[in-house]
Amino acid sequence: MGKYIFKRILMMIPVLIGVSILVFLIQAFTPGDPADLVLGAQQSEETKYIWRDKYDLNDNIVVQYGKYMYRLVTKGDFGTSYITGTSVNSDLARRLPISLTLAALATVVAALIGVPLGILSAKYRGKWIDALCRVISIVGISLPIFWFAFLAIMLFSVNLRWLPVSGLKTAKHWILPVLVTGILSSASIMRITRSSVLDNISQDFVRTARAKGQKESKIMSHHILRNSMINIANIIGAQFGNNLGGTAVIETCFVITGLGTMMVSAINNRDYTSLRASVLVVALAISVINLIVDLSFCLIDPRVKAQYTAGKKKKKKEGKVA
Amino acid sequence: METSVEKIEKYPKHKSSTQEALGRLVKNKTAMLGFFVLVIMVLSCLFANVICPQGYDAQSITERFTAPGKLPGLQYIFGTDNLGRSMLARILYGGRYSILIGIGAATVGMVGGVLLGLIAAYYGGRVDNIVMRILDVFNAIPSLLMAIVVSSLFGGTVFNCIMAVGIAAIPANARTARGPALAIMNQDYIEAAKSIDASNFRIMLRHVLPNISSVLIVRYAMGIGFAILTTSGLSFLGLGVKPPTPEWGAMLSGARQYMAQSPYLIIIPGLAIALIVLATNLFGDGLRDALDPKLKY
Repeated sequence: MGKYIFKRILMMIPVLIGVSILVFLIQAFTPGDPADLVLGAQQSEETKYIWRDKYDLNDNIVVQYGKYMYRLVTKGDFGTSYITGTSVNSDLARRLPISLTLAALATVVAALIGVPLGILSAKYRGKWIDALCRVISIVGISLPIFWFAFLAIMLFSVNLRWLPVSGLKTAKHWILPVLVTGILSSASIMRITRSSVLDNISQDFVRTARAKGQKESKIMSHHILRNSMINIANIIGAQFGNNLGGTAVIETCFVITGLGTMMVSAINNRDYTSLRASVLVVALAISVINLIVDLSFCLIDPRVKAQYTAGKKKKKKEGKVA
Repeated sequence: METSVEKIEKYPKHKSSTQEALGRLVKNKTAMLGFFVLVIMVLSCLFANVICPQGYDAQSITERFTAPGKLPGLQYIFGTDNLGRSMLARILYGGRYSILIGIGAATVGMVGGVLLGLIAAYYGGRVDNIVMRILDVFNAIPSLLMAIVVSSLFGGTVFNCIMAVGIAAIPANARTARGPALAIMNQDYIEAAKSIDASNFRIMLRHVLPNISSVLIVRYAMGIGFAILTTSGLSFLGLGVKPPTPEWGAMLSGARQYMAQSPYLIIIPGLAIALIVLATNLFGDGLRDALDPKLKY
């Protein structure tokens, strides 16, 4: 098991290197000299040269990448912002916890709503409760999140004045962004839960359990849910990634100074160091989440665990994707 | 000739699987509801210049911020915005962009994804490995973030928006195509095709692709709705289509400052997005049920 975890962590490294190359190429592909954008085109060549030198921009792109990665790996330095001239690390340290907490809380809310409703919907398939849940989930995946956020702001903050409009000062400020993101992302969880519970509900082992007189609640929790858990864990992990990737939108709606608003302002200011750093951090967080989800499969399903301990990794992988 | 046709008609008609699927689709009420909403929305956007001949940027300073229904006449049915422009006209003309980008991006994402997925599944081994590792990299970046990054590269025009949203959808589509394609590759008819020396390209397009098409069709239908949603998100952030082009997400973003006094400026464009995406999803769901009879719930 330990060996597998270690290998799985090693597998993250090429992915992260790939992401770093990708985000590094953003700048290479963008037309125009960053010095022109930041200093203004009318500056003398010399000033621009000195400015570019500060950010290694006079080097070849490969050398730039090498220097960047060297500093990142050895010192954990994400580089210096073109706009403020200071390290983006402090910005990241301030903003990352906010976005991570927001995405994590929203995902918890989504799971708390989505999983029970999905189970309910599958259990009462074809009844009114199922119809209601299906309507909720399909509407949920169709709504633009920023619109839903605005409707919530208009109702709860502007008209009823129960909750603050924007910012994150107190616990009350967190309620709307977390609920808005959570409710919308519960829709996908609900759909997947429903379909994977339905996949298992008609299996032979369920009939066997019923035949031996097992309690219905136990059949659901021990036989059906246990087997659906892999799909559910997968979608919850995916939703966390989505919520983290979608922070730009939700943070713009609620004027939250998190990673998302950092990306948007970095793009608008052509501050590639900040953009690179924020995308890299999100990719890292998502890779870690995927790792945790993969590892949770071993806890959920003894069959998966047995495959790893028996060392049949390759076979298992092929089976999983096919 | 006629007599022989009549003779055949007497026997129970053999239906192709496509006809059977269509029959199931037509019987599905929610899917048909989605279909009709889609048709109505697409047609009214297509004929925007007939419904609103004054165009989307005709301003009337005296009629700014008229709430829906305050003034008589079709062009005031949704009210007017901060510049006195008819919201109906802006919604209809803006819908052209949203639908165009949605279909364009879904197509780009589907073609790219299917190509990658088919190549990975067909050649297998090292090629498969390389493609999948590259997809792993893209997988670590959520699609909205990917679209944000790509669109930041090129700036906001309709074409760039299509590319950004489309490219962001490629990894997921490639995975969707690869899974079933791998299963098809083990079939005897693929071996048969190989043994008569059919070209790789021909086998991929004529033998593998048609057999995974039902999954892809559903994916494509859902992809259009998702692309419209992503595009509106991009425009909302100011990274997609830029105002004064009346794209729905951009309209919503521009109306933020009037949220308290004229909420309809936010409600109406959002409703348009939600309605078209909902209709696509309902139709896509129905398509999946129709094309995949194994899923009979």
